[in-house]
Amino acid sequence: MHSFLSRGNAIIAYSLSVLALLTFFCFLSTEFLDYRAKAKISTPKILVKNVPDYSASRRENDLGYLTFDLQADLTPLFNWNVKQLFLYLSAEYSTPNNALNQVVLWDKIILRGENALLDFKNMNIKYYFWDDGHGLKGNPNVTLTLSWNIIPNAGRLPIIQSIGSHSFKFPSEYTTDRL
Amino acid sequence: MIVSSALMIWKGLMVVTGSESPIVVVLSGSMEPAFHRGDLLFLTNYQQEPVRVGEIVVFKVEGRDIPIVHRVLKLHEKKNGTIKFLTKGDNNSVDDRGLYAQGQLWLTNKDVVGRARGFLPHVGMVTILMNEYPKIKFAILAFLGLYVLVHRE
Amino acid sequence: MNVFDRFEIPLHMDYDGQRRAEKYSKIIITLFGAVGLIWGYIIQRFSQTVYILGAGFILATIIAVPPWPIYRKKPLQWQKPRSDDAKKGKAAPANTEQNTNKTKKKK
Repeated sequence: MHSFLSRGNAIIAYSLSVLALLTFFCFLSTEFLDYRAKAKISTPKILVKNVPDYSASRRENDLGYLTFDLQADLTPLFNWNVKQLFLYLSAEYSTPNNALNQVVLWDKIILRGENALLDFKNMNIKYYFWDDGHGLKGNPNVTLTLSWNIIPNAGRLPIIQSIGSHSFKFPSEYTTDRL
Repeated sequence: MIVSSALMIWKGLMVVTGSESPIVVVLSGSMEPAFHRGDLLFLTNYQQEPVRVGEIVVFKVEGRDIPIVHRVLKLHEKKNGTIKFLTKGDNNSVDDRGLYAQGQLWLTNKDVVGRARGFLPHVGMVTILMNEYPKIKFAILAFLGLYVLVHRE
Repeated sequence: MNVFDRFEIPLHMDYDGQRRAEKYSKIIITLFGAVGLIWGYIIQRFSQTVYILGAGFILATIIAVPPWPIYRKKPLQWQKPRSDDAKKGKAAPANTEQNTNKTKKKK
């Protein structure tokens, strides 16, 4: 502690250790909170088409199309250690081809401070609902779930499923006209 | 001594997490606003926990040295448990097929370095600075060397 | 330091001053950190915690890094040079205590 440098160095080192400790307290204070919430999902419109998938194999694959309604209040999920929520709506189903298929249809980033009270009507999906084959036509059980990945300031990155999902079935005939 | 204990901790972490690289620094802005350049991610790669949609995976692509940190967008799992999946960066407008190797359409388990489980902001900035401006690294080394020589305690 | 010495500006802290400077800086940073944590938790903003700690860091730097005159109030009382130093055998034991004391503190 006899020179500018050694004193400055000691203060920087001590400040950084205190910062690390504070960050750890912040992480601890939110680690055991319950981040579940309810969501209400429905699908007003469902179609399935059979068209060439140019993004992948170029073979003709089933392409699902739907619009959805979504209501959820995610405001209570935010606290001082939640920087953003990554929200996504995923469809889960099984086909003769695959035991499990999961496709994200829509996603949204909600930063802290932004409106987290969701009320969407007749939303279009954001990503193509391609199946890996022909498993969508007449599929009796496709489940839509809303999930969120919590991005903290520091800490774990949990993925939480909403309470409340929505199951539907695809029509047993392809739609041939353009969307 | 310090070097060997650091190596031991690293190898120990590799065993505990099952990942070949348990800690990675985010190098691109493709996952903004969740992860920025210089943020630190802690990874695990347990084989008994299969990859699921929405997870953030770190994967390697043939012909690219640097692993990529992106989110799983869609996934198909066969009855025997083999998985193929497609990823996308939160901040990118298109999926990652353009980033994969020529002709590669899907990622599989063997491409995965780990799954992001923990997050610490900004800590990795030091390594980024050192890699991008090697002069800083040499300046620090030179300064430390001089310091040791001048201050003998 | 040599440059400054020529202008007769004292730039050192005495040993007691160094001890106090370190104590003050730790107290300030710890206090700001603790207050920042509580305040940040109350208003649920961790960024405020970090800013308050940053303010504490700046204050500690201002208070404890420059060699302010208050850190020079207890200069070491050096023993007067003794005339009988020349006589070997007698001088050595008389000086040991002072010497060890000095080297220890310098660390």
